[in-house]
Amino acid sequence: MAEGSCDLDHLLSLSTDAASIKCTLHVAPTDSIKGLDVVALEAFLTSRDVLARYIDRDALQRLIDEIIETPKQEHSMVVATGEKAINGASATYTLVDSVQEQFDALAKRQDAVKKEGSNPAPPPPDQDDANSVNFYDQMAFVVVQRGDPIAQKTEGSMGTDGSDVFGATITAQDGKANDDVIDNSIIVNENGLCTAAVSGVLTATPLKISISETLEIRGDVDFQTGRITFPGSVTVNGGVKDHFSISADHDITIHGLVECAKIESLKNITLTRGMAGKDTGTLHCAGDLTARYLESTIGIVIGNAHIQSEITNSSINVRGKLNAEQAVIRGGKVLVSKEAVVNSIGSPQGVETTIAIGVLEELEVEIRAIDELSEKLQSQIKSMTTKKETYSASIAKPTASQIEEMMGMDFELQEYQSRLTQLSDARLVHQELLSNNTTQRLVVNKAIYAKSVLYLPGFRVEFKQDLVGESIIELGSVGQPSITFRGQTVPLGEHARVLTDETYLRVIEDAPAQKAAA
Amino acid sequence: MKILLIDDSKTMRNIQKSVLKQLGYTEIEEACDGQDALSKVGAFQPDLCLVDWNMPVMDGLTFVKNFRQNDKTTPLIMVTTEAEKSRVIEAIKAGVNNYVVKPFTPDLLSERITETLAKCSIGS
Repeated sequence: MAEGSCDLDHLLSLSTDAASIKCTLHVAPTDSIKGLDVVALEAFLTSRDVLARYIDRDALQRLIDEIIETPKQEHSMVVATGEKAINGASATYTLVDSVQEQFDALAKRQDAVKKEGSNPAPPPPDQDDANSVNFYDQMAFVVVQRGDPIAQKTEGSMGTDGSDVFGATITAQDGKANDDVIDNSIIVNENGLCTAAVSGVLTATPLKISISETLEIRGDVDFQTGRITFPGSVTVNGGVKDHFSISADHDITIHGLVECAKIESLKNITLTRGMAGKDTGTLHCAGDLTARYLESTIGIVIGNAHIQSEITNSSINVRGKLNAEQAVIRGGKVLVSKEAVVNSIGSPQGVETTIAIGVLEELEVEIRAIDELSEKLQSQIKSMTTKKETYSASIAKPTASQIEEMMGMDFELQEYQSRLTQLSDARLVHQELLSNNTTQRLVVNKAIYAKSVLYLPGFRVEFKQDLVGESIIELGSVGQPSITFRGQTVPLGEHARVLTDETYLRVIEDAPAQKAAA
Repeated sequence: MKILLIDDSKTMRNIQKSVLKQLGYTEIEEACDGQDALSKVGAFQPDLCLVDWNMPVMDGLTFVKNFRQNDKTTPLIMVTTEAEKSRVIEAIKAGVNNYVVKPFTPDLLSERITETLAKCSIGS
């Protein structure tokens, strides 16, 4: 150290922040500043392993200036700065416009529902107002179809490492891939376009974008949810209010009461509680129906129907079997194509109740149409034959035009005959279908009460008195309907009034059987 | 195969059309007399013509004579009530390849068409 020069080691000290990115030089109060300059400070810093490239010489000069001005004060200044690590950006997902618009519309709907929440029935949408909300037809969900574009993925980036003032590396973090934001319900292509792998309800939050094939509604289907049209299964934990509907491509399960609503499923419907349709509520079920009860409901079930408690004042058409061992059918009309097992029909109070077993109305309508057409054709053939015979008989030597006219008549006759043959073939096919898809068997566990009417193909059976006890009513391919009651099988006519009736067709395919039936 | 039906009676054309469809011929054009037929042959270019004799405006025989002036090969079948031998000969001299007398059965017409097409095919 030169004489008169200050002792830098005592005068100067260093400190850094936690990451050693910033280095601060502290200068103690001094009487002598001799030998204190930028070069000396820089030398001091490098002697303390601070990398020269991070030293800010301008800052050193400013520090020197401050010290010269007030040497007897303590001074501190950041004189070196390292390089911060720059972390990479994580992958992001941006909803495509069409989906974002749907979420925006949902938000608008939710606001409107909150606003109208106290009103029992929100007003119909205003046709002229683009901002109005249709509480019935606008669903409170974003539903997408398989293949629909959902979002655009932007891939994450790598981080850039930094260095502290001493040259030690500060490791940067790479951006997250965020692959877990989406699941198997979304497919990402090489361009980052995310499309729906399944059809269903879309949920999208910054942390998760997913499509569920099952729509679960915690409460009721009402103004909060709108009418539901869904490509998967629907489960409703509440009920379905008047004038709302659910249409689903898969199963529908409703735990609460279904009111005057419309329920349609391409598969099965389960009504844990039941349906009170108020005479206009409808059920369309392409699979099986399971319900506790049906009241004042109109329904078509292509599969089997399982009813636990009762069918009251309803019009139900079941193409499969009706399993209602414990259920009462009271009032209304129930048509069953195959076997029916019920607890009782009608009521001790004499409620008019109609049940038809082993019938398939749609096919019967077609067979009747075929019969009607055949009858018309036969009549035309007869009339044309007579006309031709009369015409031929009246001509001794036909002229050219008369020959042509007779040829025309022959041609028409052939056409009629050909159409008649086609209709006859079609009838056979329909008959076979009807025969294969119907079973005329009714099992009643407890009672058939007076004023009940049973239709079987070709018969109407009127019960004038209560028939209490287990009974099995059957109709074979020929003959009268029979009943097995209290262990004895006898003609049904012994317990009820049996009338021949053409409300539902009886298909008897061969002549001997027809004769036997007659 | 394209077939031109020439007959003033729509019923007769329908009968012939029905037979032709049963035989598998679906490209069928219709004309209601000889004049109408001559106006259509250029565009339609038939492979076979079925011609009635007695028709208004231009009868079948006149049509055959006119047609044969430009086309010697396309088969022509006269379908007519004219059954006299002299008439048949007159038609053949004019250029028809075969002859079907009304009333005919679908089988007969079908047989004559097949026979004519076979002969003309061998001839060509």
